[in-house]
Amino acid sequence: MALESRDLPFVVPKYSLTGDILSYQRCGLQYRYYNGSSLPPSRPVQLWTGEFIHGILEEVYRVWREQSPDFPWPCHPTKIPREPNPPKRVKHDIGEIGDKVEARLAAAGNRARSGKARTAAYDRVDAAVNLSGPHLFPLITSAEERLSGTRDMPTLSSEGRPARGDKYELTGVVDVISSVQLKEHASNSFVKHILEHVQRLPDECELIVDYKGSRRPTPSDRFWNHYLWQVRTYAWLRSRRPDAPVVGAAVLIYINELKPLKSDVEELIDEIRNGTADVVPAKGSADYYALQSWDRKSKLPPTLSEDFRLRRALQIVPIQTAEVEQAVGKIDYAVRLIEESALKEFAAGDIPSHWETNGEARDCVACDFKHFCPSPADRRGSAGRAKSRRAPQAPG
Amino acid sequence: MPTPGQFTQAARASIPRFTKRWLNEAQAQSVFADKFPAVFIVAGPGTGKTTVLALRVLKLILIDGIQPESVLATTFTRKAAEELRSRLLSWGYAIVGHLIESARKSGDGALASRLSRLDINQIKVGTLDALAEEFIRDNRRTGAITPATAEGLLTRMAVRDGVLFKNGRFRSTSFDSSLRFAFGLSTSELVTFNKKVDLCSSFFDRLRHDRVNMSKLRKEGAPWSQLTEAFDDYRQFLDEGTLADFSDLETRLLELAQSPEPAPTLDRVEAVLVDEFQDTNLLQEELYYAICKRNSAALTVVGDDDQSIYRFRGATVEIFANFHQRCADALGSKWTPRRTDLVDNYRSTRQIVSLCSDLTSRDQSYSHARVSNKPPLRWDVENTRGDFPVLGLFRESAEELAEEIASLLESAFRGTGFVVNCADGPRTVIRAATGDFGDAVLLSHSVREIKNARERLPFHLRRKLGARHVEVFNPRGRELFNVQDVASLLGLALECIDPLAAVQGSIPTLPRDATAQLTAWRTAAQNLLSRNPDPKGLPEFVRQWQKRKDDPDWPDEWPLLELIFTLVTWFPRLQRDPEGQVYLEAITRTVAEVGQLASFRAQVLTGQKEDLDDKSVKDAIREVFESIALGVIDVDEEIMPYVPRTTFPVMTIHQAKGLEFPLVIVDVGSDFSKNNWKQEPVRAPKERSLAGVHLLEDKLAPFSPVGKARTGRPALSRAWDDLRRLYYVAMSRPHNVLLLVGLTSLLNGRVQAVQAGDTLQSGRVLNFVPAQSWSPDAGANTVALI
Repeated sequence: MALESRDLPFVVPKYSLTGDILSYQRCGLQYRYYNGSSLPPSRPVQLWTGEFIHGILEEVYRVWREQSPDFPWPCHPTKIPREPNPPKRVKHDIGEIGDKVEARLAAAGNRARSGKARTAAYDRVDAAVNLSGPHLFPLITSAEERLSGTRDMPTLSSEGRPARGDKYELTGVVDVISSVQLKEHASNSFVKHILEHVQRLPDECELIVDYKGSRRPTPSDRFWNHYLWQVRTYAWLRSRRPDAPVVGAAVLIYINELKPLKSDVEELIDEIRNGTADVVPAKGSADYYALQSWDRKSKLPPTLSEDFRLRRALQIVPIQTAEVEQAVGKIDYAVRLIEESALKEFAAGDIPSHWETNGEARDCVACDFKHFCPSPADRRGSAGRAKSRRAPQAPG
Repeated sequence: MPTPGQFTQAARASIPRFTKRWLNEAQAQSVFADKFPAVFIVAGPGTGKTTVLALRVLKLILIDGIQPESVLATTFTRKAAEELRSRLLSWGYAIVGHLIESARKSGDGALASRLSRLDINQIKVGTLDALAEEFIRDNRRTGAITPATAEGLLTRMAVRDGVLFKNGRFRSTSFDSSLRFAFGLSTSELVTFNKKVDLCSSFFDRLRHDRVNMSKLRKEGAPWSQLTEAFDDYRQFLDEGTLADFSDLETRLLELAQSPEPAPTLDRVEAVLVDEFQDTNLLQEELYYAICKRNSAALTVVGDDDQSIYRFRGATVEIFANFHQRCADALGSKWTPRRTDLVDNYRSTRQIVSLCSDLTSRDQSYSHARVSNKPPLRWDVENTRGDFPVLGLFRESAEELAEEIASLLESAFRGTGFVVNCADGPRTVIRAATGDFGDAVLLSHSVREIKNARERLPFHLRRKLGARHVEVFNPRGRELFNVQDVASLLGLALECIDPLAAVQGSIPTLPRDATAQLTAWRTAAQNLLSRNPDPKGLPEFVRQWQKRKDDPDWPDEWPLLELIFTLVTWFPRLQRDPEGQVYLEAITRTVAEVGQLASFRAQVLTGQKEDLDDKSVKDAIREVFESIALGVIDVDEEIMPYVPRTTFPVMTIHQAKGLEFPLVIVDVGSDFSKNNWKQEPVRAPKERSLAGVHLLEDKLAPFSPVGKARTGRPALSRAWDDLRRLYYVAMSRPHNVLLLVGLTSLLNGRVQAVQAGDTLQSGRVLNFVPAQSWSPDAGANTVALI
């Protein structure tokens, strides 16, 4: 009796563009531990901020759609520790909405790292709601649209072992704007900004909106490309929906730019000096001088104009077929690498040997596995493996 | 829309497995049945259940015109959901692509256009809990907060903090008596604190699963009133924390389905398909009927009463057995089900199929518990797996047994194969060209390696295979707290945050068992420190932590989780090895879950006023270390998606449900050396050994709509039925070889065991013969001894 061989069960693996693909592109081994083995991050700061901002914006949009209170909306976050008799707030106070979002996140174990981080997040959603809301909300036709699509599994070089499935599934969540709304709101400053960057939009088309809880990367930053591939792939996913009009453009909104912190401004000044930033203030403008004359030792960031902050926050990505195809090709490639690593691990075990360690120094800083990573960024030799292992230091 | 013929043609042309062989008659009947009435598919093991379910979903979409987002398919496990969704996406796109091409070729542009607008990805597939979470989230009102899901340690903490610590229940003898009464436990049986948590959890789940009439139960007075009051406290605790456990989620979805309020995504559902319906509970049954009633949705249920093994989680097999009547009563004549039996097995050899079939049909007592007029499982003539005896290996001791098994496995996967001499000649069992130890599995009711200080078969097997340089994957085999690396890691963490156990010693309520365990961990840590393992520097690291209060630069607070991840640097197995990852996940999950509810959120404070530093350490010791030390943390081996094939897996039968392996070894009694009455519940229950869920079911039945449907069969019979089903599942897993292993005491009749073929009426349905006298025409119930 010749026994049969038991391969991996047939699976069409599911990949989220943010949770999986972007994570893998950050670092393969980190992705394997966090996503593969479900190891929880010790400092889920980014996770809280991202989910808090998305949660607030989703809820704020629902309230706006149902009740349309005028902007600006007040923002009085609940004080911690709680006051015995807190002042009454209107229903659409961002603090009131924030309480519910915070409660939901806290129930899932997701809390702000510190009072400072919480305040910063409220400042940012305040800016996001009151700066972008009046322009953006009237344009949105569908919020939190869940996208998913299926693609052929890329060909793997897997030494004879078949892939787990013949296809893979991609998922993502976006807000959607229809071109009809653009026409109806021609004087809207978002619309003007969009049209400045997209030469011609098809008559009937959609725009997709993706929020990033981060600052705007420079074009030389690898995240610049990752974000472009991501939104173009969202466009591909959206195009798979029945009767969906073509996607004419994508709007990336970098929330941190709406209310930059001191550290954000410091980075921006460095980027302007290096010539790497793509959106810079015009020479001689008030923003130019505000940045030029700002003293890094001062406690507060300089005051920048609303227009400049919006220009930094918004990145308009025209969507064209060739670029979409290139983007989904990049996603296919990431999936291929993940699947190949999985098959190698299945055949021979030993996790760190089969997953790439390609994070940059900033990815390693908050990584829980940096101490035993075979090749952390700060010790990576030219061959890709670490030059030597060393013991971690205690935090003091 | 396409006709069934076009659908069939497209499937056969576009999916390689259907090119060779299409559906048999019963499968085709199930797939192509009309939307109404309800479809009741009774599917034995290996009869193509997932295939039928996937094709039926696609038929409902492609032939009946239901939109993909209007189809709701539920499965019992996440793994099963992943498998079904994978089939749907892979086959769905293949069939649709082929149909579009055919429609274009034949000039039917309208059909091609309609088909191209189908978005197969929108089909809703998942466990009922996951889908309930999704429906509740998607249909919430503005301003409403959707609760976070509580499971595992979180629900235990809710029982502990919200119930047992409230009003001193944990030391109340009267509350103890109430729990003992509900579960039929004798006064002599020790009910530890952790056992109380388990019993409360189980009781609270059962109240909801059985749709118990709470006001009626309360009116009964003590002990029920005391237990229902505890349940109210539990619910209140969850509500205050914005939490919902699985039963809560299902209850909320039921309320949504029964409410007149619009629920956009739920209102879209036009077809409901339920997999593993035999393990449905009353709450879930009501929920399925409520959705069907709300939307006049079509209903398909698939399952096998012989494979119902989740009674302890509220599964009510009687719902399945009486589906015909219950469905008609609940939904009306439009739904009165039409039944199809899938009996042709494509998975296993003829002898395995015959043996499984015999096990269920020969046991007269059990046959009364089954779906009426159930035809026997059949070996399909197109099944190409040849004749090979079901093997039996019985030895005097577990160690001897392990040596034999290890030797057989080594021969099969590293040598020239192992030979079985039968009456008609020798037969050799040998690996496939790409075969490895991962092609085999040991299944047992328990995979614990050591129990009551006794070394069990999985323990010996790990040693015997280890001697042959073969790794074993059995993360459930050892108590988490006893694993060497876990002990040293947690001991180091303790030494870091609480040198000399100063804070630990100031916790008077720390249970004695936990204190002993924490001390053992600290000793393990000291041993490791003395060896100063690579990459060195461990003693210095620990010293810095111990002196942190003197360090002005030390951070105010530091996550315990980060300390643990850092310590992993000195534990290569936890970084690299599949079992190591499972253990690391269990530890870190515990810390993360504690972070959700505990006062100090699993942070270690330094330099704070009012003893906060020590309080944060105390909190960590009580919540994290004590929980692990007392063995309440469950490992989750499913987090390891790619267990290497070079590794030999050991699994419980429950874990193996839905899986199949070329070679399956079933432990039918390696523990049963003598007729020990304490082992009766797991081999041959008697009235005197009955306790737990079967008795609770009886006691709650008068307060539940399930009533006589359940109690029509006595608790003792139900206990035997459950064992018969459990081993039926185990023995129907293999493709090629089934090997039953146990002690010789089972062969000579000294010990009675369902798994060795014994029946409630003292008969035996298995016939053990020496392999030398076995030939392919031996009786279906024959086991060849080697």
